[in-house]
Amino acid sequence: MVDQILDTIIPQDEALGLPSAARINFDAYCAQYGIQDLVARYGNLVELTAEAKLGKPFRHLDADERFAIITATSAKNFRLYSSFVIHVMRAYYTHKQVLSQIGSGAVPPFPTGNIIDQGDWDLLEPVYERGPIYRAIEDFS
Amino acid sequence: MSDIADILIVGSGASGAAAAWSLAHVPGVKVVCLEQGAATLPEHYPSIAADWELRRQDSYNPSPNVRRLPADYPIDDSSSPIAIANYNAVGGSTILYSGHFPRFHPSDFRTKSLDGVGDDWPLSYAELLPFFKQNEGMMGVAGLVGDTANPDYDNLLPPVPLGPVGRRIGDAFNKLGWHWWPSYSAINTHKHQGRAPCVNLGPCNTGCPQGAKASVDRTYWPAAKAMGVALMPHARVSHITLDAAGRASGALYIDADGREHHVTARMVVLACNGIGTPRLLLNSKCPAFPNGLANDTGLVGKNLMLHPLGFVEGVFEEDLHSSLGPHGCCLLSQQFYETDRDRGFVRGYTMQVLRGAPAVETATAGLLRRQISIGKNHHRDFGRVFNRTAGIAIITEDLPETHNSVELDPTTRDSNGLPGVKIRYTLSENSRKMLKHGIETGRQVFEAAGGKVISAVSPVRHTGWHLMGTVRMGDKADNSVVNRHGQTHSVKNLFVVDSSIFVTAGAVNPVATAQALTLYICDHIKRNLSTLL
Repeated sequence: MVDQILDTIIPQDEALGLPSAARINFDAYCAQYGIQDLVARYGNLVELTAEAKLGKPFRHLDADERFAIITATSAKNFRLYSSFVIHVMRAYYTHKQVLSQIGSGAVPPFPTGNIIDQGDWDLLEPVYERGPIYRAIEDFS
Repeated sequence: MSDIADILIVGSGASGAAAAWSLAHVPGVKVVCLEQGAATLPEHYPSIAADWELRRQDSYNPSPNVRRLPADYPIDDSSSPIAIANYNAVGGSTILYSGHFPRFHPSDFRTKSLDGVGDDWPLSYAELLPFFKQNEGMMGVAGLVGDTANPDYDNLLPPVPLGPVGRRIGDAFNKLGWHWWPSYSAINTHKHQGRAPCVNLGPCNTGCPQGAKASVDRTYWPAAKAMGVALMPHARVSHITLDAAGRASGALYIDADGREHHVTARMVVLACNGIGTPRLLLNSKCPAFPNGLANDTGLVGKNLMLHPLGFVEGVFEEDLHSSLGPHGCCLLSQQFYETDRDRGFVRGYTMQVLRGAPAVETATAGLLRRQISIGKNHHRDFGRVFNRTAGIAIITEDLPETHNSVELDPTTRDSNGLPGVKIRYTLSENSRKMLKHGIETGRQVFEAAGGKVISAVSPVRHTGWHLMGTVRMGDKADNSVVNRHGQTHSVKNLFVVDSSIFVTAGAVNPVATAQALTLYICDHIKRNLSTLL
């Protein structure tokens, strides 16, 4: 069920080459940050909300219904909902494939780094032309 | 166990490193530096991994209260709207700073004469000028000469690239008729002093594994150690000791195994920053100084200045690759630096343009602000923000006020049982007016740039990096702790060389000025060594 929740929060986008959040090894992230209990509690909230609102288990819902249930959990327990979703964002946007596809430069940044345009220093001409703006001080020559 | 030094330096950060290097030039003088933190390993810095945005949040977090490393001490900043940031290691906070490196202006040393606020420094910009230049040569500073807001730069490395976002904002400043200039950046844009050039990793403020950013573990320390300075990490100083004649005789320190040692020294130089230095002095009580060493006037720990900071963030319609490049070093504006009383406040501020937020920060902030949704529109929403944002930090001049202070906190202890500190700080009315003005001008910049403001906050809480004023300098012993040479008025062989001795705060990142001041003081020490030792 966690995969279905993840897929609802961040679905795949084939055109952009971006995976669903269910395909980024979220289990490993959970283990690294010790959030298995939070994930279980949020899963339970989702299940209870699905049963209460639609009378069906979350896994039997269609995509629109799943989205509605995930959204509804924010009203029931915003703290738990936002903690879970932020962890999904943290896991998703540190995944190498995701970072490579969104234009975040070298992944990881070191050692390759990035090339940045130097810039057009002619842009500073108007600043030069206005002359000094620092305050003149008597004991400073 | 007891060790012997001629000159003992406490603290290995920006000023301690510069002092070690300068004093190492004296033949036959043994210089020892004690540092409570460890030497960092660049191969462990966050930006070596894809999840660097997460790694920076624990052991490289700028808050000592989050890191809680053995070298950290508790700082209770719950009575301050600005939380304290620092890093306790060889190199100090330069390990995590962004390397934004402008100098104070000439007027910053004369605020009382010019504007009737703060106090004049007992020295001038002109006296510091040779030491600004010496320091910039050692550190390696990129920028462009000819700045109309900053006189006297004549030798800089090529500027850090503006990139598309910098050009866009520079153009906006031009439309407004306002000053802007490429940042003064302590970042090698060419190979310099044996260090590699910048490759635009981005998160300079998580440590630079490339070694291009001028953290002092890469600049001053290799040279100082080569000249014989003994640098001792994991050595936490608990007390400065005095001899029977009332002269500093050395320091007690605790090693990594919790054992206490005494270093005997003929001169002691403190460089622990605007919080660590008063902490050590206040903790060094003795019969001659029952309220803390050199604290006869009660001024140790007073006049804390933090540079209250405002932040305006804007988003553009176009992808400007804005998350790429040194995050804190792009361009600055000092249009509103000098006093203009028509603005309703005295003194002024710098606008420091910051590049765009990285991916996790974009996603989580966007989610909380409801700019980025979950579900089928998530990728569309994320793509409308990521690489399209920029920030403007409003760095305001903070005036000295005695009620803003650092004091020992008997309710907290560090890993060696020494007391932590309590910060008491309130924003002045002048600072509030300045922040309001800065937020408004930041909005105007984004408007002129064709962007849309998505966030405007002041003061930003987790920005207390600039720690100044708590051991102030002055000619008179009744209103200052040290004289113009950093020498404490009451203990003649005890010197302070860090930003705690600043009389006023200026409105720029303080490291360039702190290090120039350190070199100036050490030059005086070297010239007068025979009478001081």
